[in-house]
Formats: sequence, structure tokens, C-alpha cells
Amino acid sequence: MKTRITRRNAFSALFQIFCILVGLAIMFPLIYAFFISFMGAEQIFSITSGLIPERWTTENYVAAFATAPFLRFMFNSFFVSFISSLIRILTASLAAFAFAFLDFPGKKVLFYLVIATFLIPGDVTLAANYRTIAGLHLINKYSGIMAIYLVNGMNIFMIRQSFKTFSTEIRDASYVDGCSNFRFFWNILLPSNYQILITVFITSFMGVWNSYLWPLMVTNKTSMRTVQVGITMLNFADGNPYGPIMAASMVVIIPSFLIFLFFRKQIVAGMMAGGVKG
Amino acid sequence: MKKIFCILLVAMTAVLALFASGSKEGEDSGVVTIDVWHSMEGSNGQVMSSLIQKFNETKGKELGIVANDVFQGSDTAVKLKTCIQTNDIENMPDVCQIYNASLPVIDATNCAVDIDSMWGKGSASVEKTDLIDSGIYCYTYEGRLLSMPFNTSTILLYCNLDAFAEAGLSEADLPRTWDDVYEIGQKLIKLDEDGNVLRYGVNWQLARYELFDVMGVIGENGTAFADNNNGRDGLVSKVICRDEMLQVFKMWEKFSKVPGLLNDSGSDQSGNFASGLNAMALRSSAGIGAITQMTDANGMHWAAAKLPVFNVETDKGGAALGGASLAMFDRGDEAKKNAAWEFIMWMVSPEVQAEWAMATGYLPVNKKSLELDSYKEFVAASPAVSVALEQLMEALPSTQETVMNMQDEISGYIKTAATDVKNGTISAEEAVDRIIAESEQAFSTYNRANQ
Repeated sequence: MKTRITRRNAFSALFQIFCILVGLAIMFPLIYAFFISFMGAEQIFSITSGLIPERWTTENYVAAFATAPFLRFMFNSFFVSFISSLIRILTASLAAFAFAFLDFPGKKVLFYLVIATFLIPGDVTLAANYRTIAGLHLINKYSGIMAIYLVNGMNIFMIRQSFKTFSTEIRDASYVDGCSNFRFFWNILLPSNYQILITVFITSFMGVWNSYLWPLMVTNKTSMRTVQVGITMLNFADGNPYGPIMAASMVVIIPSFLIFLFFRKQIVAGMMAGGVKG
Repeated sequence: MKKIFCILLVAMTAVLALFASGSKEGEDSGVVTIDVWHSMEGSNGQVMSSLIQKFNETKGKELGIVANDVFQGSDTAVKLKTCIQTNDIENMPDVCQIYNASLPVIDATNCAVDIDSMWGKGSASVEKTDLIDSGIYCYTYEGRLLSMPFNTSTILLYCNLDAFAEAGLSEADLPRTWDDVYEIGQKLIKLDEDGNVLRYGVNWQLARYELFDVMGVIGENGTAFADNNNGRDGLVSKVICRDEMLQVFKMWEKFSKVPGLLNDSGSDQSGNFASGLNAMALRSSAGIGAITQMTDANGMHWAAAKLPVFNVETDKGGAALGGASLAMFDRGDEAKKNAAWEFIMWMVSPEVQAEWAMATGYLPVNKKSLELDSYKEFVAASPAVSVALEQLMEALPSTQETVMNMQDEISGYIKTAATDVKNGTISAEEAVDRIIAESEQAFSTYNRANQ
């Protein structure tokens, strides 16, 4: 008995060490980027440079912020990501409600159409989307950047899957008590499915935050650029831009990092909740 | 829950308000605004921005023109192409920095303005004959000059003279042929006791840019990669240089067999040369500035040699022109078109070209820049620049990079084949045949979609 416990403990310890090693390996680029962002230019250059800065300096951060208006870029990115993620939750949950609870002709076809949108790569629709947005005179406007992020098939699917697991007894009981469809959706269904809503919000926020090509396409003014476009301003093949680029990347990562830190339990729980019932 | 509903409602209203505010910006009366798109990053981007600023404060002020500085990054070509494809004249730039790969796209739109139709207009003082011949040749497509050469560079072999001295060599021994590079490179290799490389003989990446240059010099008239005058008389369809490409790959294969001779990494070539990791490095003259700056800091001595040839007697093509140009677009507003021309003329004027070249490391496209005292002093202080200029002037104008829109794909084929040869998995012949097959396949796919 004792040996079994010791063996189990030993196995557990080994497994944890393994997990920590894998975690470190995955984290390594980030950790290295963090150190480079505080490293002097002379060390980034030398062949024998170590991992940890010999001279801690903030000059890379100063250089990054001096080259481009990063605070403005961050505000733009935050505004676009936050608002479009909120709207995305609303559109996705309403559509998911219809797909999960209502019966209407053509429901299956519509649902398969939503699923089919997963299969279309973003690049294919780029020119068509651009034509629409330019036609609406939305170039250089927040609404132009956000327009393509407001509805997402994957989010509809995820929320629908979560709604499908909702107890039919509660739904029937609420209908019997005279609850309207919208009231049931708003007061009962959404609060009890908050985990999946948070998951959708976070994935959507990060997705929009990290997008590069579309915000570049629909903006022509420095004041309307987002952070991902801003970072490329620091890039320079013939110079030594690694310090400032890593500094800017560190700053850009902060919002995603904070969101993940605060909501990581919900993300995992939400993934489980959405993945059970087909 | 009500709270969340309120937040969502406010958010929706805010967005709707944003959608609603689709009004056009008004322009001050009498001032013409033009949009200038460019892809200059880092310190070159800062120089570009300061030049645009200077234009606005001087010539622009005088003529009532304001140029908007719009950085579009490495995806400038993608963006321009999308505007052209969707015929979005409203959001098109008035002036756009383009590489020669974009010439067919520019040619396909009727918004682009032929540079030849503009000479002599406005207050311009620059004439076509002031510009370097290879620059004009580079951006001439189907007989029309579609874009104004603006920033040019040429490829050089940078040599670490401290490493040369260690091997008993001096600046007089700078290599002229690839055989010299092979011999000298071996003397410069430094290994530790375990056989790890401390210093490579030469840093030579073999991708599209390097292959076109190394191969371009071969022969009395240079060597073109593809048909249709290397893509300048129409879309390319065939690779026409099997023998010359094989010559390059045979040399590459020979280099690959000597441990420590060849470092084929393309990342941070300036930095890895300046830090002493690579004793010689084949890279663009655009690196002169950065290398000077870094070696001033660490005290390393170096010199630039011209692009090596295979046979000094017979290889007369010279190095192809690198860099980019300024294209202009007609958006249906004559005042903007004229303003764009004034801007371009100012950008290629002798003084501005000299200033641009001194600040960035590019070479001037205006021959008159070379006669300015400030630029003469600059060249005198930087021998590498004078080597680059000499090479630029010697090259046959017809020695050029191939114009092809799928150049990144082609570069990938060349690089992969070069890596395979280096690793010994395929022979030089196999590499060349594979590149030709893959490239011609890519040409035909592109041509089918873009005829």
C-alpha cells in the first residue's frame, strides 16, 4: 500500500516536472522577448550574449514610444476589440437562441450556412469586404474596422452548443409561467450560460486585438492605426530594431495577458461546456 | 443583468453613431492635399517622414500643396492592389512607393500616370536624362516608364579586414571572383577545438535577390532569369538561364562541402557581419549605414568589394538595381495630379536625393547629386559608398531583377533548393531543374488568372 502511494507520488512529481518543463518551453519565446526588451543594444548584438540583460535599461521602451504613438494605437485597438466583442456576443447569442430553441422552416439550412462560413479563409473575402466598406465611405473610421468583426459563425456555433445543454424542463416551466421568448433568453438563459459568453468575449477580443491585415487595409491615417500595424513601423531589416520591437510587443501583450489571467478558469470551463453536446 | 443590457445598448448606439458619421473631410480652400504611401520602416521611415515634412514646409508651402505621410508597411503592394482591383479611386494614394514586382499591377490600371507624359510640366527642373539609366530601365514596362526611380541600392561583398589581417591578407586581396571568395573564405574560417564554427568564411544567402544578382553578371550582356525581356515586355512564362543558374549552384555546392565556409542565414546580416560571426557577407548596399554605425562602436575594420563574378574577362553584366520607386495616380482631380508630380520632382531633385542617400545608405537616382559638395564629402568619408556607386554606374542598364508578381514564391523555391543542396540531399542539377519546373508552374498559374 505504502509503496503504491510513494510510487503514485513519484509519478505525480515527475508529471509535474514534465508539465513545468513543457510550460517553460512554450513560454520561452515570451520570456526571452521580455529580457530582450530590457537589454542594451550592445548585448542584443554580441554573439555571446546571454539570456538575461547584463545592463537593465528602459531605453528600448523609450525608443518604441518615440517612434510611433503607441498609446493612441492601443486605445484604437482596445476600442475596436472591446466594442466589436460586445456586439459579437449579442449577435451570436441571439442567433444561437433561434438555432437552439425555435423551430422555423429552413433552420437546418441556415445553420449549415453558418457552419460553412468556417471554411472560407479570410483572405478570400478581403477584396470583397474592402469594396463594401470603401463603398460605404467607412475607410479611416472605427466602424469600418469593426464592421467585419461584428458577427462570427464560430461564436454562434459555440453558444448554440452551450444552449443545447440547457435543461428543457426549466424552459418548459418558464413558458408555462408565461415567460416570453426574449425574457427567457435574457433573464434565464444568458445568466446561466455566462461562462460561454465570457469565453466568446475573450476569444473575440484577442482575435480582433491581434488582427493585422484588415485594420491596415481600411485605415490610411496614423491616428487610426491599431497596435499590430504600429509594431511594423519599428521593423527595419537594415538596422537593429529588436529591442524596441520586443518592448512594443511586451506592451501590446499586456491586455491579452490580463484578460487571460483574470478569466482563465472561465475559458477552460466554457470550452468544456460548449464541447459536450452536439 | 439590466446593467449589462444598458452597456450593450450604449455600445450599439455608439457604433451606429460611428456608422452614421460618414461625412467627407473638407479641405482648406487653395491647398491641395495629396496622400503619399510608403513602406520605409525604422530609421529609413523616419527619414522619409522628415523629408515629407520638409516638402510641406518648403516647396509645398510655396505651391499650396500638403503631402500626407502614410506609412503602409511591408503590405503596401497588397493594399495598393486591393484598391486597384476594387477600383476604389476615393482611397487610392496620389503617390505610392512601389517595387518593380508591382509594375504589371500598375500597368493594368488606367489610374496610373505614365511618368513620360509628365516631363516638363509644373515647376519641375529635373529631366529624364538626369536620372541613372538603370533606374529608368528598371521601371520601364512595355516601353512606358510607369514609376519614378526613388531609392536604389546594389549588392556588395562586405569583408572583415581584421579577419583578413589574421589570415595574412590585406585590403589589396579583396576577392574579385567566386573562386577568390572560395579560396580566401577558407582561410578566414575559425573553428574551436570541438569543430564548432566561431567565424564563418562567408555569409551568402541564396534566394531570389542574391541569385538574380550573382547570376545576372554572367556573360557579355548579363543574364536574365525569365523571358519577355525579364518580365518588362509582358508577363514572364519561361526560365531562360539554365546553364548560368547551374553555374551558380555548382559554386554553391562547392562552398557547401567545406565545413564553416558558408553561412546561408538571411537574418540580421549586418549585425552578424559587424559582430564578426561572418568574415564576408553578400548583402545590399543599404546595409552600409547600419554596418558603419555598428563597426564604429566596436572598432572593426572592413571594406566593401564589388559583387564577385565567375570570369573577370567575360562577365560584364554588372549588378542589378535594387530598391523602389514612386508611382503616381490620377484620381480624376487635375490639381492633385499636378501636386503629385511636383512632389515626385522634389523627391528626385539633386539636393533631396543627396540628403536621402546620406541619411539612409541608399544611392542617389539623380546623377547631379554626385556633383554636390555635401555628397562628395560624404562619399570621400565612406569608401564603401564609392564602391557601390562605381558598381551602380558600371552595370549594364539591362541587367535587372525580373519583374514578376509572384516573386516571394519564386524566392521560396530558390531558397529551399539552395538549402537542399547545402544539406547534400540533392545535386546542383536537380536543384536547378526543380526551380525551373516550380517557377514555370507558378508563372503559368499566375498568367492564367491575370491574362
